[in-house]
Amino acid sequence: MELYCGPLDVKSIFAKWLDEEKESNYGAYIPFVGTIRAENEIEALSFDIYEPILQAWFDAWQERASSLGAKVKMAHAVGDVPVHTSSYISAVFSPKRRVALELIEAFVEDFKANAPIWKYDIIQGKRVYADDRSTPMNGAGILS
Amino acid sequence: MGNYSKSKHDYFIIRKKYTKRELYMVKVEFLGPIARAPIEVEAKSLEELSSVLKQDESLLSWLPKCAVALNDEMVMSLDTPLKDGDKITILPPVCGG
Repeated sequence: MELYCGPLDVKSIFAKWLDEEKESNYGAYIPFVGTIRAENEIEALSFDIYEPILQAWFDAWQERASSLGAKVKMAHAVGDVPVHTSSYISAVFSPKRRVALELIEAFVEDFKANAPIWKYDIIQGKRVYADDRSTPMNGAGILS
Repeated sequence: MGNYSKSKHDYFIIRKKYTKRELYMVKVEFLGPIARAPIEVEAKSLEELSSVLKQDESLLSWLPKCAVALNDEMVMSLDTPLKDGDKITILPPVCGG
């Protein structure tokens, strides 16, 4: 799990991940790239991350992947990320394609629902919480 | 039995023990868009903490949609005891990627 200030250098991170697993004998490598789209007059998106719980969330996924003989990787941006650049990439390596295809979907969807990351629109220099696109985490509301 | 009565000193000792046993100060941190400084609260359980936080009107709209972590582990039940020095983290709705 890797965190970077500002937009991700997608090509170099994917190349690094490939090199890291060059000798691991995985038959499938499925990358996912999240890119900031130009919409609703935003100049950029911005992100806050709570690393201790993100790391624990990621470690639990790594354990699940490992039980299937696979490995997950992810990188995310902290702070401002301009449109047409990337804030999030992830990948699954596995011996055969089926496990990787299924894991990448489950991993990315659970990431959207439960990774402790907060998104803001940057519009005319102002940072506005993306309230309407955010999802309460598992267990939300117990204090109410 | 007999004519034993407690002196001021005895009361001091009793009070001191009582105070020590009952002190449950926990630190509460609010993440992301809640944008509040951490606070210290006296609470023996998450249920007690809930009562304290609900007295703060600015938190009322956040609490129904926030998840909770105790010492950086997600908590799913209000029936969770707290001990002195615990860290509670309040996590508003998320949107990574």
